[in-house]
Amino acid sequence: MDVKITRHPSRYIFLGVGVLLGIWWVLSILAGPLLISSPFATFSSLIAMLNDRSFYENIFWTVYRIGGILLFAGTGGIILATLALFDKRLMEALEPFRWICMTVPPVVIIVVIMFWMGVGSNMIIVFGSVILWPIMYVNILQGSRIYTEELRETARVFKISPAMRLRHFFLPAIAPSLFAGAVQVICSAIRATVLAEVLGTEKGVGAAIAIHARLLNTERMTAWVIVVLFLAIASEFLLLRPILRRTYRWRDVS
Amino acid sequence: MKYITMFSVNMFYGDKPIIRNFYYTWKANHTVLITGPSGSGKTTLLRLIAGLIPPSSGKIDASQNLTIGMVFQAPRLLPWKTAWQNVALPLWNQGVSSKKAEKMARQILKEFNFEEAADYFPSKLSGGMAQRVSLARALVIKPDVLLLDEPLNGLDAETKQGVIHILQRYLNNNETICICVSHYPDELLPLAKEHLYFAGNTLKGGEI
Repeated sequence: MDVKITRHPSRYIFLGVGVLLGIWWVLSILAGPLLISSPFATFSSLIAMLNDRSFYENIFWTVYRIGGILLFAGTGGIILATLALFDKRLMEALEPFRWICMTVPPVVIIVVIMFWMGVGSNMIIVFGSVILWPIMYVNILQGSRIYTEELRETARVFKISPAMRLRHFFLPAIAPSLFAGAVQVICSAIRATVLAEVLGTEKGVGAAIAIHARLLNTERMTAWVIVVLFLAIASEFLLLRPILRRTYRWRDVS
Repeated sequence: MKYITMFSVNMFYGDKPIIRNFYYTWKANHTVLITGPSGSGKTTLLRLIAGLIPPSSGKIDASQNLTIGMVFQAPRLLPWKTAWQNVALPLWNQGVSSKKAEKMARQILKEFNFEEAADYFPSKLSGGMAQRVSLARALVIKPDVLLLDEPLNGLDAETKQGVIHILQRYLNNNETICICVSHYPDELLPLAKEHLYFAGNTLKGGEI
């Protein structure tokens, strides 16, 4: 299925959001405010939180950790994939590591890393990097298949320099997979960070959710969940969609 | 004088002999047409000359720093570059400025009656259009060696005549070693000074 990357969300997205809010509202009436706070109460709580300095501190810590994970998982995956493409022995040697990182449940990995490193930002960044580098790695390896033997031969016949091969042949070939990997890593990094914050920090969006859950402050807890959603939406619309639109330009024309 | 000489070249795929004990000197201004049935070794011979594969035994000697332009059976365009960018790529590689390369690419595409589609990506081009872009890419650098593997693939009769005319004019005006492989010799005979054909694992034929 071809998915067109649009500049603006369509009206059907707004329709979906409306239906979601309607279901949420009905469930909040049925379950009561202690279990599910109503949309109105949640957004009122969110607006009240905007005046609180700790709100911005929590978001800062979460964004900082997400950035750290993206940096290490992203660059780690890119570097390892590039090396693996040059040396098939390395690719094979990396397989057990990739397999472990992709198949062992994240909750097991976080417990082990917490056991070794204690709690805090470093633990979260290491945890996120460990579980997410294979996403970027695998995407780049798959993308490299577009750089076919035929294109390599064409470059050889025309004696294209290594720098030009990298710029005009290899990087454009892997770019769609690279950015598809980046989308997955960013979305997963948000999830991993919040999960790790719930378990192992005092600051950050996940920590705030955990604290309000323990206090049975459902409105605030749900408001922080909305903040997580906004973080994901912001990263997709402000960062990823503009890049993807440009990367897929040559595919969209057909 | 530009040349490529093959000394006692043998080529095997596994145990299967493709080319046996082949001696030949390819010279500039002496276009050679090579024909033969499918799988006889025509493309293999071009790939040997292009340096894409080494011979199983024997030696290939050539004058220094020959530039090669090649048209493959399939156009092999970069899907992420527009038609003119595909043509300009070998020029960029030679250090021609972006602006000049674009001008030269658009100019040669105009000769191929292609100016309107110059900004299209390959996914929007028909097979024949893509083949013309591939030809333009090979010619734009004015190569010392022009290797044409079924260059008229996918072209309609009228476009074929246009392309043959462009090739003829190009070969008349440039000192080029041109080797052309085709299933259909009649269409390309006007370009050639010599016609070789595969008979088993050996090449036979001579001056036209």
